[in-house]
Order: sequence, then structure tokens, then C-alpha cells
Amino acid sequence: MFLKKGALFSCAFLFVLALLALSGWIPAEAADKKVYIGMCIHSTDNEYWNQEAEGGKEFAKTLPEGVAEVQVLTCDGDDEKQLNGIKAFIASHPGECILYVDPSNAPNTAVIAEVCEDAGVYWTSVWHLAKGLNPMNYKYYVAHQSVDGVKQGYDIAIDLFRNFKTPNKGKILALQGQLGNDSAVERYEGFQKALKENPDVELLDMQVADWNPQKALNITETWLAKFNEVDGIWCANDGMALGAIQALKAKGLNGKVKVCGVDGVSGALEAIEAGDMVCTVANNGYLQGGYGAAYTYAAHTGKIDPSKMPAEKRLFYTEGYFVNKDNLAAYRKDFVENRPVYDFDNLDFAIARPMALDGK
Amino acid sequence: MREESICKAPQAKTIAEEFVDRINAERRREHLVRTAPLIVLIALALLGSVFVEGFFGLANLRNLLNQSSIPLVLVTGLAFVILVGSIDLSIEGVMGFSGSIVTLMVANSKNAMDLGFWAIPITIAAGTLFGALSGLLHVKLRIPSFIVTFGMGSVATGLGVLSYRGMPATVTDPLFASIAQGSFLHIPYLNWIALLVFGAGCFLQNSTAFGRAVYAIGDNEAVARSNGIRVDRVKIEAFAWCACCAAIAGVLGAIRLNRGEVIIGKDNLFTTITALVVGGVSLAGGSGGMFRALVGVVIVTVIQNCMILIGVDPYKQEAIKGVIIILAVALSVSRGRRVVVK
Repeated sequence: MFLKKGALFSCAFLFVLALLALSGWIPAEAADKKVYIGMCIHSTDNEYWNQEAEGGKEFAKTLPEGVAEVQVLTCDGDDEKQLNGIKAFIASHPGECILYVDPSNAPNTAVIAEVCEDAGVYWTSVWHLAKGLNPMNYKYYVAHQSVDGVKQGYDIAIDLFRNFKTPNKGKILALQGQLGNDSAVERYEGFQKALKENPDVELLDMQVADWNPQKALNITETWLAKFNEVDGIWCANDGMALGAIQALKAKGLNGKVKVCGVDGVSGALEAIEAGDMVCTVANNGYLQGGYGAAYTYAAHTGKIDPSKMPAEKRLFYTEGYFVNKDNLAAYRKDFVENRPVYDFDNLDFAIARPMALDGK
Repeated sequence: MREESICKAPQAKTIAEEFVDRINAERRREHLVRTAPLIVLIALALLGSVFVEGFFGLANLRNLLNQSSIPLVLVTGLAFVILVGSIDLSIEGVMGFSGSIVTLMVANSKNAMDLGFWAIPITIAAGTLFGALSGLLHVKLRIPSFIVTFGMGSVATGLGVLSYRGMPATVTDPLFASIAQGSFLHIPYLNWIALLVFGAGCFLQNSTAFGRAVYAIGDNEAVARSNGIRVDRVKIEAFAWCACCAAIAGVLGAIRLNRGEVIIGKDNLFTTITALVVGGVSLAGGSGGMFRALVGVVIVTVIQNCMILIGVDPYKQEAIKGVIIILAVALSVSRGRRVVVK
């Protein structure tokens, strides 16, 4: 009985301690006006997501030393995990944190917007936006940016068709990303638009490989048993493209069957160099993460006032980086061997074109 | 006295006879259920050959072999853990971890390390450690296996990601290419390796004290313990073997992709458990074996292969897979209606 009570008391004590610590009641080293930048990304197991986080760190480096500390919060695509992570982050740095959020899913942005508004935390989002949500209606929701997925899917498809034996004429297969995922839907939409414009290109089959190279490999292997003549495989990301290329290699078809992808991962660059892949679009996470953090920091420090900014500066598309054989060397020089250097004082640099919320 | 008179009643059977009859009926039913997966597989193969374009042929047979190799290796490991009545949810993590670190130890695009062939045994040993640790924690701290292994899977995934820091390595070692593309008797090396692992699993199950102990524990742990079987040790060994197989699967995955990232492990747990259940390995432990696991793997692979060949709408594929696993579990539940319920 005593034991149980003791355990209960110590639990309660620990709980209270934790609460106090979280609410900042126990003063740690809160003397200087430090800003904590929370970079909320999906996970660290992908180059692009790492680029986002690194972009935030690059921005922090441009500030005087010790002023900003970057913390990376991962969610593994889980809405609840992302939300809890954000709440805990805000609670542990009250009044001195800002957020860059790559949302787990579009609907989550609506909840995050409310949480940040209540806590008075400036934040920006990237990629996904809940239906009906508009940063313009919020004080602390500084900006939303996205890479135009439709354009990416379209651009790689057009370049793929152009590289066929008979340009713009042939039979192709498509590997789509995870069902229901915004990027997958957008890129596929762009692909379909390109198909419509090129009636001589016939789509033999589409399968979903969930962004997974292993799955892409298996599907491509099976396809090759069914279809004898294939000119190209359109892939919604590079991982799947690399999986498909492995299946093609086993049959000596690499380079003959053209492949394209999106993301610009290092493996894809190597494949473009080797002639196994036609093109990819790099999302440029450095730019997105860096400017995303820069926008919130500027709002946090009062340099900009979101409520006075026009919509085209709070809702915009950023430029992706289209890479094929022609500009591979230039891309490598700027993005792989070096980190792209940006002038974070010029916030407009990130804006490629404004985004209309009713669609494209 | 009264019992005797009942037994001697002319029309009624004796209790003993009734019991024997019921057991026989149960055996017949069990035999039917036991052979059901095999019948399903044969039916699937026949239907596929007749109706599915591109299914019947050497090229697709090779595909089926290729695509079943990794699940087969995973199933060979997981079967033992399930036979003792536990579950290992860490196989995806361990597989991803092994697939990641092996590419960093052979010649690759990311670092200067080049251990050649030795990278493979080192990786498998490292992967096996995860299983041994899971088993140890499960047995000694008495934590349910699904929690321990769930956590351990996360640990392995995390370490895997850390190893390449988000930028996966592409393998440049010719060893990988030669294994991936080489074949013996027209069957790729990768399939031979998978079959070898499966053979080892069969040997472990049928010809070793470990194999017999696994069944005994799965059937009734208390009885096994009182008969002097070192239950804890056997369980730890089962987890270690399972992780060892997952590590091998990770290496095979990396060889197939020529690239190492933790995503190699993704989506394998569902396939593996489905294969075991569809093949008729009871999740309650103690029932099933290597042959059934093999049948299950082939069934699952054939179904996936056919769905792609037919061009089933990807939106419906997931639903179909779900229905299959529920049907399989429903079948395996009827197996539990024995005269003697444990």
C-alpha cells in the first residue's frame, strides 16, 4: 500500500517537475534573446528533407553567433506526431521560437495554424495547405510556399518524350508515388497534361510504388515480362526511378528504355551522367528551408509585418531546378560540391511566381 | 458403476470411441486445411497461366523467383519467432539498417571504406545482434515481444539513417554487380542465396534440438520448461536467427538496388506476416513450418505479380491484399477448434 502511494507521489512529483520545466518556470539559460528555429520535416532518411533542415541551418549561420539555434523535428508522415512535436517545441521555448513546417499532410496545416496563432509563434509552411486555409487570415502564419508539382511532372515528361527513338512518339509506363499524397497527385496531373499534348505517346500501364525503390524494381521486372516494347518509364520520384533502372539493367535495357524522376538525389545525378536516366527536377530544399526560416525570423524580429504584406508575397511558388545531361555539371557545381549561397536579406528572391489559392 | 452401464449400452458408442471419432474427424478437417494453401497456390498458378497475359513463361518465372527471394529469407527467420508464440516487428528496421551499412563498407560513392566481401558477414553479425538484444530484453525483462521488437526496429532504422546521414550511397564495388547479375544454372545467385537460407531454416527446424524446442515452447511453454528445455535461451536464439535472416534480406535488397537506404526494409513486414498466415503458420505459435511458409510466400508473390500483369487499378490492389489476409486468418481460426483446446 505504502509502496503504491510512494510510487504515485513520485510520479506526481515528476509530472509537476516536467510541467514546470516545460513552462519555463525553472530558468535555464534564458538570459540572452535567443531564437529557436524548429525545422519540421518528415524524416531524416531522405536527401531532400535533409536539405530543408540544412537550409534552415545555413540561414541561422548568417545571423550573429549564438542568436539562433536550429532544432530538427521529424514526424515520419504522422499528423499526430508532428502536432505533438510542435506543441512540445513551443512549450519548451515560450515566446522565443519560430517554425518552418513541411506538413505531414495538408489537413494538418489547419490545426498547426490554430496552435501557432494561439501561442503567438510565427511560422511558414511548405508544399501542403489545407483546403480553405489562407495565411492571409492569420497574424502569425507568415507565408506558404510550394514547388509546383504539376509543372515538375509535366517538365520531366516532356523531356522524356523528347528523348525517345522517335521523339514524342512511343509507349510508356508510369510509376506513381503514394496514393492520396499531394505531391504524387500533382506530379501525376502534370504527367497527364503532357500525355494529352502528345497523342502519339501511349500509356501502357500505371502502378503505384509508394515512393519505394524496391517496389518499383519488382513492378518494373514484372512489366518487362508483359510488355515487349517500352520506350520510357515516367517515375514520380528518383528513388523509384533508380529501382526501375536496376530492373532495366538486369535485362540490358538501361539507357534504351528512358527513365525520368523528381527530387535530384545524388543517385539520380549519377544515373543521368551514366546515360541511364534522362532528367530529374531538384526541389531545392536549401532554398525552401533557408527562406522559410528567413521569413519567420524577419517577422519574429519585426523586420517585416505579415499583416501588411500583399498576398503574392505570402503565397508563392519557388523554382525547382530541372536537371538533365545539358546542365548536370552546372547543377553539381552549385548544389553538390558547394552549398548554394543565398542573400537572405532579399526575401523576394525565393518567389518564382505567386500562387493562386483556388488552384494553379 | 454407472459409467460402465452407459458404456455398455448397445446403440451408443463408448466415450472412448466417440473421442476417437471426433479426433479423426478433426484430423481430416485439419488435413484439408493444411493442404488448402497448396491447393490455392496450384489453382492460382493454373488460373494465372490460362488467363493472365505474360504470367506463363520463363521470364516471368524468373521474376517470381526474384521477387520471392527476399520475402522467403524474411519468412525463414520470422517463422521461428512466430512458432515460439512471439512476434518480431523489427525486421523492417534491421533489414533497412543492414542494407544501409553494408553499402558503406564496400566500395561506394560516399566514403573510402572498402572491405569487399567481408562487409557482408560483418553486416549480418551486426544485424543479428539486434535480434539477440530484443530476445534478451523480452525474456529477461519480461516485456511483450511486440513492444521490444517494435522499439528495436525504430532503433535500427534510426541507426541506419544516421550511418549514411540521409544521403544514400551508390555501390561501386564490382562484387555487388556480379552477385546481382550472375547466375548458376540460369537461376540468379540471389535466388540461390535465398534458397540456401531457406534450406538452413529447414535443417534447423527438422534436425536440431533447437527446432524441436521451438515447437515444444510454442505448443506449451510450461510443459517445455518442466521438461528441462531452456526456454529463455531458445527464445533468444529464435530472435537472433530472425534478425540474422532480416540482415541477410537487407544485404540482398542492397545488392538488388545497388544502393543503400533504410527504405529497403519498408513494406516487408506486412508481406512477411501475410505470407506466413496465408501459408498456414498459426500466429498463436506451435503450428506450421518451413514448407507452409514457402507456400505462403509463393502465393503472396504470385498474387502481387498477377495484379500487376492484369493491370489491376492500384487503388484496389491494397484493398484486395487486405481481404486476402483477413480470409487467411479466418481459415486459420477454424484450425483452432480442436477437441483438446490448449
